[in-house]
Amino acid sequence: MGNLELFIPEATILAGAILVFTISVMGGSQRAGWIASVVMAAAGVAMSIVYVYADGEPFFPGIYRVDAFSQLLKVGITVGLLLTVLVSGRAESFRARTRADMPMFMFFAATGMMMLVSATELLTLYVALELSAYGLYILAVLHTSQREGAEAGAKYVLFGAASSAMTLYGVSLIYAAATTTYLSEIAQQPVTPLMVVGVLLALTGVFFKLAVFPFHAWAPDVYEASPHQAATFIGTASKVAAIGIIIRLMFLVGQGHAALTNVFLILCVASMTVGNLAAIVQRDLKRLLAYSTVAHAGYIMIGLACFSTAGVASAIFYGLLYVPVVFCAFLVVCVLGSDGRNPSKASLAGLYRRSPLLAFTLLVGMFGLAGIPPTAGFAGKWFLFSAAIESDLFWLVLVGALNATVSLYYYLLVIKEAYLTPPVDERPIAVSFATTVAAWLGIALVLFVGFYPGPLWVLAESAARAITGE
Amino acid sequence: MSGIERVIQTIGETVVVGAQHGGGHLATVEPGPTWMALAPFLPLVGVVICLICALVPRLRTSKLPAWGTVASLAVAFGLILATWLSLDGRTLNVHAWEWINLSWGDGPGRALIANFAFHIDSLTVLWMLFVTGLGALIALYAVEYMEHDVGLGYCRFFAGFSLFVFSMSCLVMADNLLLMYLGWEGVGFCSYLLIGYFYKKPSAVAAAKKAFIVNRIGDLGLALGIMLIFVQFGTLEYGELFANERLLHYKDLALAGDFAQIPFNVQLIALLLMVGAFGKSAQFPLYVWLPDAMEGPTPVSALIHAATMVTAGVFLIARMFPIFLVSEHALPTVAWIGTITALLAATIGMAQFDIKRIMAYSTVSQLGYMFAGLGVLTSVGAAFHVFTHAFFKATLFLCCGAVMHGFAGQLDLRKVSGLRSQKGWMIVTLAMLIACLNLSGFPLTGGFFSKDMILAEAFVTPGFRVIGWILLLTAGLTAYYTFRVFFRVFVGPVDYEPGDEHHGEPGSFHPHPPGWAVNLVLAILGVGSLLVAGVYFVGGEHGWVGSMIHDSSAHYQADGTHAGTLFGQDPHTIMYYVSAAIGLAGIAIAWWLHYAGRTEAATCRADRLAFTGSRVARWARDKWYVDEFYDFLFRRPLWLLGQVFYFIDRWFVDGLVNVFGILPRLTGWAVRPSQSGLLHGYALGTIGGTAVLLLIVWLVT
Repeated sequence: MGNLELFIPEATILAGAILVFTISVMGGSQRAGWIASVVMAAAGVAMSIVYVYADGEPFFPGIYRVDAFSQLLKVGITVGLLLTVLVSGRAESFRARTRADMPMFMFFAATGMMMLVSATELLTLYVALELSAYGLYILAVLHTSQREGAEAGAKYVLFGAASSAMTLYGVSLIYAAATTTYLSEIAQQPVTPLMVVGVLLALTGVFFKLAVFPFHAWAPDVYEASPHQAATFIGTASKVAAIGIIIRLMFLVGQGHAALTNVFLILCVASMTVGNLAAIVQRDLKRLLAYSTVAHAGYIMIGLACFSTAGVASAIFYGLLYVPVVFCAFLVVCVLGSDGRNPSKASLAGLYRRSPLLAFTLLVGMFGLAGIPPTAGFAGKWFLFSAAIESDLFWLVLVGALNATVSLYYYLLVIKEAYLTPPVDERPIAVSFATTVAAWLGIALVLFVGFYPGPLWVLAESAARAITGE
Repeated sequence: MSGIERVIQTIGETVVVGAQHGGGHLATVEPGPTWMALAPFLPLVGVVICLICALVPRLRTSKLPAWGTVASLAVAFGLILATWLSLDGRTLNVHAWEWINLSWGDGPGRALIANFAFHIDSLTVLWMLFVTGLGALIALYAVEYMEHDVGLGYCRFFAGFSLFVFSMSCLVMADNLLLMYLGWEGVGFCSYLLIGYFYKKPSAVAAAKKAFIVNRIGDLGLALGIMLIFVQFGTLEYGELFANERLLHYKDLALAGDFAQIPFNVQLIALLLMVGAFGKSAQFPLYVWLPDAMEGPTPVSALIHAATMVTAGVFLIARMFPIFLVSEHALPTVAWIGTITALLAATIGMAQFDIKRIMAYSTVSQLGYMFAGLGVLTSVGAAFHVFTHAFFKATLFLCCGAVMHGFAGQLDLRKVSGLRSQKGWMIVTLAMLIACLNLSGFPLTGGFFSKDMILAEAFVTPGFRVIGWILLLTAGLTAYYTFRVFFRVFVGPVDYEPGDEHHGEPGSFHPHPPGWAVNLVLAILGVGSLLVAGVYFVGGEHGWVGSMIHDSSAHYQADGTHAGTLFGQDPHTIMYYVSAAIGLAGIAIAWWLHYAGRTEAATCRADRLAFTGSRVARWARDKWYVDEFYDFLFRRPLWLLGQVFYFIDRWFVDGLVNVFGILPRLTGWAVRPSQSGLLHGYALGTIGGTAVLLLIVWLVT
């Protein structure tokens, strides 16, 4: 056995899940469970930060690796969890009977995600992938409206099952080619076509989680039909985990196999373009965010397609900053849709007069997504594009920049609704204390990384080096 | 020969000897103690105090912001005094923290280094002494002056005030041009904030904008100059720049008169920097913003637009003197522009009725003197004039402010008279008298000595004799308009009417004399203005200021070419008598026209002059129509051009953009049916996608 102490961040989150479950079983109020979950999520963030420089193996050799890469992503996952839990105080969009248990599933899923980014053996990896997915499947079903919940749940589970099957198929092909399940040993095997196909199939299963075109079709429907907080969690923390697992798998075939590079480039361009174009015509705010997620999966693929340390670092950096950025947008959805229905773009009218804080949070989120300085989104795109230029992919930068320009259109339309359109409903919106804290936390993170990207970039670079070995 | 004359005679000779003695050199830069770097940051403490007061409702109604500012500036002044005492002619460099450090390859010109570091030599200390010292005094004055605005306005005022002193300190103390530029822009921005302090008053907002925009024109020159310095010499740090071998080589060439061998781009630097200096120091043709800047509260006028910020241009040229020396045309241009500005502003000042405006034009005019002084290579004279001017002009403004405050905003010299005879105005009148004597160059005042140094040097520098005569004439005009104000407002029969800030019956108005803080500040400044002449007699060849300049980059090593005569005498000697005579003549004319026989505020002998109604007098009153000319030459054509572009943008560019805008929308609609919500459709997409990807892998491998 290795050094079990290194498992403390994951253990904290797991303990959170058990604590919430215990409180629920003992008949504690929903509020008690929620407060416990906030405390445990905050503890999880703290532990992840404490162990951010940890290095070693907590379990049997070769299956579970704690290094700069996994620990940084764990910070992102726990931050996403904490932010989501903060806005889940009332959780009106969940079915009343499930509200007390709801945080438990988030904690279980988060545990799975944290294990996913540390897994260095194919079967461990697969089990962690399933663990992270089950929590999300359940969260998606719990919508107040039975019909909506059933639709979201069914689509998500069926899609997830299909992509799991593909991942498993890929894993079996990799094993056939390499006759081992340890990633470090696989990476040393000669690259055969069988191996490339295996890695690609395994990756398609994960592309589904990141909502890369053409594996994105579930995202708009699931986002639309699942409870707001579930969508928030799927939109933030699970993306970080997905980026982590893609990076682990893609380097199995060395520093960029020609076929894999081409696949990445095609998916990258297609995701950006389809996501942005489809987002333009959306009226439902959650669907708009879903398509924006597809586009952002494309941006992140820019960094991955470089197959370089800088590229991977920029993808990690973007994945991490994407959490608070998109959270700022989802927070507004959670508050506006407290009746369980989805807010539309039109329902944002005059948000500035009804709640200046919400409007500002939305502004920061949209500016972050569009990549306007001084938000973190700008710094992230800057690193992605400069990594692409270093890898002589100037045309890709051009495509990315064009896409960013197109995306500006619908992001700014949202801002326009919130700030310039006169309100239909003049009543001010009440924002609870926890949500206010979450909003300021999100804004602070987005602006801090925007103004001062240095520290996070240094961490992202060392994380990338842990993978590429440079 | 009387005793005083003998003293003057001796000094005159020493000055001549000193000018030929020369022998200055650039001291090597040594690291200095860290505490010296604290002085510029102390005003920031004031800013923080003001911010806290603005945020905490209980403190908001207190006078804490004002006293915080006064205290922080006073401590900064104390630090600067300590720095001065321990400086001992050295050049120190104090590193606060690393700011910008970019490098692209090895070798000179391949790294851009600009740190938060301070270059402390005697020139720096000279400037900082009056920036922090006068700053503290004027802040103390403002404690009382801004009383009616206690609350958020008070916080805003003192935050801007402190921020200004911080920016000015950065400008003066910076050890590199980039930090200097930061301070330069900072003072411009603070000046904008403070001029527009009364933001509900349209004229104040317009004045703030005007100041900001006119300064931008100058700043463009400065920015280009700084860039060109970097391109040419590969560094922005003073220490390295002044020790640059190419620059030293060019300086030797320039001293030998061989300008043809110095590259054009090197000579251009000084001309660009000069444009920046003209903007900030309100020189022709960029002076138009300063008179309008009087819309700000009076302490602001005194601090920013009389004593400190406007001398930034003089400082820039003094600091960059080595650069200016290698340019053939820069210093002569500076001299001529300064002279033209001095004369032009003085003529406008003679015809104004608003006493604060008269002081504003007087500032422009006196700045012209300083530039002329720099242009005729007497950086000592220019710096000395900056120093004396800072004292007496601050006093003049604060006196005008006291009048304005006491008479409900009344600034028209035709409507207030005889302050001396009213109760409680004694200190104001005395301070005003001392400052007026200084400004008009009355013998043995500080202004007298500093102005003479510039005048005499103009006569001894070959080719600048005409400048000398024009400046001499201007000195007479200055004396006249200065004492026009004094004789009309401060002496004569008691007569007044309130300004437009008075509400109620005109008969119910009673002027209220200044309180203790204003009186204290005016007393200190009045005595200071009186004593400032003393520094001419201490500290070596050119007086104390001379010794300060001698140890800095502004020092100029005079050669033998500086010789000339005036009325067959040495100009430095004869100038004392000539300029004294001209100054006294100006005062006498003012006395005859505006004091003798005057029985009420509005009318005086000057009104009966045929000249008063003439066209020339009206033109001068209307400021020679320079603003109208600019409006016609720049604003209207630009506005028209804007309209044309607006039309093109509206009908052509917008149309084009709309066409492109429709394309993505159409595509979006086209993509939409694929998202039908039917699961098997999605599955087909996913499987198809995977198949395509596998096909690619097959094709590539």
